[in-house]
Amino acid sequence: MRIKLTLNSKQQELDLNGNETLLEVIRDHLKLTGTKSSCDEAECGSCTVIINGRSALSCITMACDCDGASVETIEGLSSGDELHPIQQAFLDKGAVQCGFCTPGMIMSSKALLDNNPKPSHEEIKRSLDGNLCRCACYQKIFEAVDTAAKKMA
Amino acid sequence: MEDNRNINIFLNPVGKNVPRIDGRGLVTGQTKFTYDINLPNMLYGKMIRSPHPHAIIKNIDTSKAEKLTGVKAIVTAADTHKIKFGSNEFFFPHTVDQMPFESEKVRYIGDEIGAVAAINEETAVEAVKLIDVEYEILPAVFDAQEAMKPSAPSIHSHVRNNIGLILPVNFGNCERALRESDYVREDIFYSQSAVHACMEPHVCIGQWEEFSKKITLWISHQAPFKVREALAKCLKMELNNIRVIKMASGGGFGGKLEMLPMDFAACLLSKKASGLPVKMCYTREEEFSFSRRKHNMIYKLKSGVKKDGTLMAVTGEVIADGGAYCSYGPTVLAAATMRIFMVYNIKNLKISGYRVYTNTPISGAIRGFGGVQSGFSIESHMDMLADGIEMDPIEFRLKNITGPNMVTTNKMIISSNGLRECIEKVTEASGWKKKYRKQSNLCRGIGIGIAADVMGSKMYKSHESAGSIIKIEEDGSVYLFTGAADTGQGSNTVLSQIAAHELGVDFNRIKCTSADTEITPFDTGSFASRVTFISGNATLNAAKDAKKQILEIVADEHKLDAEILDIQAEEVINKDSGSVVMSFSKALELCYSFNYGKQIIGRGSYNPKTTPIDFRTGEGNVSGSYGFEAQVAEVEVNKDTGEISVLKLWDAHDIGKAINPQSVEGQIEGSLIMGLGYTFFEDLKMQNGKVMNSNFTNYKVPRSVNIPKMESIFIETKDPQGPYGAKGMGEAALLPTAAAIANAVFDAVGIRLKELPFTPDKVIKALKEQELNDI
Amino acid sequence: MLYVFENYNMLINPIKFYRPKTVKEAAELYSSLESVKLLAGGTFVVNNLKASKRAGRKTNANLISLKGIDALKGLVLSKDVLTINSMATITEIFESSYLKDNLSVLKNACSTIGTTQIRNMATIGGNIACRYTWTELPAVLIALEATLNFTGKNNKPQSISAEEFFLNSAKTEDILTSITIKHKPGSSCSYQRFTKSSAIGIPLGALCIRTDLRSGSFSNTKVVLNTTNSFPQRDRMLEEFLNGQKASDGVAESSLNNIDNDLFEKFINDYQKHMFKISIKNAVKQIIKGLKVK
Repeated sequence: MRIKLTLNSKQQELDLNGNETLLEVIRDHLKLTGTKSSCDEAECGSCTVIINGRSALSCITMACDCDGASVETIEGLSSGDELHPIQQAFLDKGAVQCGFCTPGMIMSSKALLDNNPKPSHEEIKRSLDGNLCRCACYQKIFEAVDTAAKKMA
Repeated sequence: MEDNRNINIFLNPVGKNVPRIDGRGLVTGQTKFTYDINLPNMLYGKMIRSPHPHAIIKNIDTSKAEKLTGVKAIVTAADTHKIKFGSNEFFFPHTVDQMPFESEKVRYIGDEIGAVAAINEETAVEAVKLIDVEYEILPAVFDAQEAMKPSAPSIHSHVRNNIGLILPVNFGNCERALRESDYVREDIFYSQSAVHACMEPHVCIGQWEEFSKKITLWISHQAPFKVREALAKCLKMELNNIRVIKMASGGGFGGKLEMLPMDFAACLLSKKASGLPVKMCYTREEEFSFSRRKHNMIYKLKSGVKKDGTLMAVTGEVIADGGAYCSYGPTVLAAATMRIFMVYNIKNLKISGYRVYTNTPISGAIRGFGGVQSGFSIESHMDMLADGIEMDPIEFRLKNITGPNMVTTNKMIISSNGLRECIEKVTEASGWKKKYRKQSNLCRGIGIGIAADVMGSKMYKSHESAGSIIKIEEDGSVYLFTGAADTGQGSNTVLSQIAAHELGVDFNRIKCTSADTEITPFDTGSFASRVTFISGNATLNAAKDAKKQILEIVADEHKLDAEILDIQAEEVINKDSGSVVMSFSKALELCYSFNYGKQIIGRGSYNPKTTPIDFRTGEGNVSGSYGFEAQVAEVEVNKDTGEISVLKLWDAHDIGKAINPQSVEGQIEGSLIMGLGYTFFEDLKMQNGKVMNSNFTNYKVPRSVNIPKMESIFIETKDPQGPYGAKGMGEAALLPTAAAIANAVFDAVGIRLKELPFTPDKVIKALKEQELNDI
Repeated sequence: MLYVFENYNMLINPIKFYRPKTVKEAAELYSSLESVKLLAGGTFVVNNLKASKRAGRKTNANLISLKGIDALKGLVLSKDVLTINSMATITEIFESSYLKDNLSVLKNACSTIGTTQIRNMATIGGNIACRYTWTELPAVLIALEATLNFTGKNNKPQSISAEEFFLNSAKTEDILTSITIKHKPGSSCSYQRFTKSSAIGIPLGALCIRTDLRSGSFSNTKVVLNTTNSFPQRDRMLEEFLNGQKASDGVAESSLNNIDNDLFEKFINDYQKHMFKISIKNAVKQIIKGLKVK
């Protein structure tokens, strides 16, 4: 099945068998390894991408279902040397430890701020409830998202 | 946290919130973790595992699997020298009990007997199913107390009653002390099993080079030198023919601290497959079921106090369920029994620790070692003792704690000790006096737990030194080669800060390469919160050495005494006059000039001053430095639903000196939350040796919505041995969390919770029992 | 290093993927294909396909995704009837401004389902059809007297009450197209749920009580209880007791003396039984508070 989607603002045409998940296509076919696979059962959020403006789990999204969709991955955030304000805030606030959950966390944060530019502390907490961080940087991640929101406003 | 904008955090970076040196790659997703790497012609490996908890292996037939298209290599014990490996070999040789692949007996569901490499994962999985193993099933035992009975099946032939290790700690005269006590009580505490649940599962890529007979292993690991050591031992190879390279690692927490059969498998499969690289990665189910878990413990305590609050004696017994093999059992047990001496100044202590084999997945090291289970038991017990003599728990602690510059009963040498200040600061910050025993009408309560941790310990080798090399290039850019493994705790950054600060240069000059056994000096590994203290000192020494080499040349050129020179903030200065002699860049040019032509290579090594522990008694100074903390929890209990809400956690921590305050806070917060998870819902459930909740749906870990308010308070006592006075921080903050919460629950609603985790049904049950008792 | 990737690993067995644009097309495919599965949000089906492959089980040969059908998306409020199309996501329902009065209980129920990403992907249709997380919505839909609408044979639409669907083994050969609920300003609802621990996850049990206010008293009350993996149950004894009760403070306590004990004995453990009683008390209290305000 041939599908067309917008990936990180670029048009992509893919020829698929039909049984591929979006995560496989991103990582294995398109070699974008920033999005991670960690639990394989839609619980950990490491595979989070943004589909049509909402955070979604690429490990349970069938790639064929992205026909006509707009998909954003972590690779699409920075442009050249300049980091996206959320990425910069994560660095500045110490919200990165091992970094494995970080791409997923950043994508969930971006989806939140795209839909709700002035989130409350509770709203930030809730929007990240699908992203596990075992290093438990959560507190610093909340601060980073808050800082980024203020910068982007 | 301070506002960094007006201070140049990159000059004299010690004490400043320097962002992660490797952070940019992580926030952009560009850093490659081991699973992201694909090498040409790479194969995929899968382990062959026992489906039985206890059985004799009669025969292994790999013929059908060999015929499957796409299978390139199969290895079993026949491909090894059948040499055992273990994690505590130096002090406990008899605990070396695991083979790379078992060939005689399997001892838990998942026990590894071989591996298969194929062109893709599904072929490897298919091939594993075609391996025919003939087993003679043996009776199995799954409970530690059952396993200790004479009638229980014997799991390892070299031990009796399945007791892999007994650690008796016996000091003073406990019987007499108890007789002389005004109040004696006995309690039993139950701590459950848990897992690390790192976001990145275990993964490695092994490659064999035929012409040189060399192994290269790319791995996510906390102790690559330990892996190299085990490979050398079991494969009978020289250390310099094995290269273990630590990749960016997605968490360790003690789960990636030792050799695993999968690491042998990757190397041996590659050898058998003519040198093709072999990638092995655990699925999440394997991660839960077949890696390592926390020792579930039964902690029995009987202690006595005088009316004035003097702690007279602590006695007890610890039964730790060790699973099928020994792993880090001895260290866990030692931490569970001997830590009391770091915290409380007592003369009479008699605790017998038993590490028992059962036919369940292997218990190993997990953040806190045995200190979490013992922290919960002892700190709850202490609170109950205080309550028994109607003494305020804070007052009780202050009366009995250790202090600075003392030698404990078991000969631990404590120099800097901020425990008193920690307790005082946390009491103040939490508003203890206004809240304790004053909020039960709101079902709110406040509780304390205190703990101590080793920050520079030696438990594994004759030497456990760390080493660092600093190589300064002609243009002034600096390489820091350190053996210390950064698995996310930020050691690359902290060590680079120490290097830059001591060298007197901008932090941005430093590039850190760590934990590559071919390039970096030896380091035991990232565990027991040892890296800042031990590896930090090694780095400090390397920086001092490099600086000395530069200053000797500058001194020679300018006819000055090298002793009066220093490098600070990118300038060589005359300490006596305060004047600038030349810039750092110019000094480098001089070193690399025609006349001098000296390459600046600084070397540093550090071995903490300790004495070996005599494990027959528990005596010995195990660590070069000790860290301390006091933690307070405020909770609200919903008597209808049994839910305990943690309103806030305060943690006052003696860390010596915070090299990177933001990182220290990150470690404290991370530990607190892990402690919270362990207290409320983390619970590895096993039935007949099989893990029943081997996924995140059923094994719950803390999420963003579970995070309470937290406050970290640093007590900087400036350790005399630590680099810039630093002790380190990694795991201590989760040691007293469960107890602080349990004690707060008692303050709130008057029930004592002695079994972890504190799920709502247990609270309701305890409340109902209380109601019946009150009638 | 060269990143050359050959022989990649398949996570799902080969499957023929269909993405129809209309309900008619979907219904025709669904009735004509053998070994076929419908795909809504994917939070259950895709996970299952992967788990089956890992376990070596056979999976369906054909997959029909409903995501491409615009007619099945979104919510519509027309006069006093709310139509939730079956592919409306849980987030869309939660964020809808149409959920007022008796419909506001849907907002409560949807806010507790899964995590943010799951809510963005999961659909109400999938939630109803898959029976995996049945503790969240069925109790609410029965209490709200919702109607489930299906494609039906020969594309003739068919409807069934949520109560009948859920209480009578709930199997269907048709595609769920929408759920319709009457907006009733005079109706009051409470949704309660409880879990095994403070970690988020599928609840141990859920409860929904709805009542119409008639002269300050409960009437036409529905009490629906739900536990994991079982069909929802109505507590008719409690409903009977509540009907005719005035909205006053003592009612919540006395409710506990009027529950159906046979029903309660079926629950697995003491904590579950205890929590259902607490939930009933809290639900009744919440309704009375709401009724008093009016």
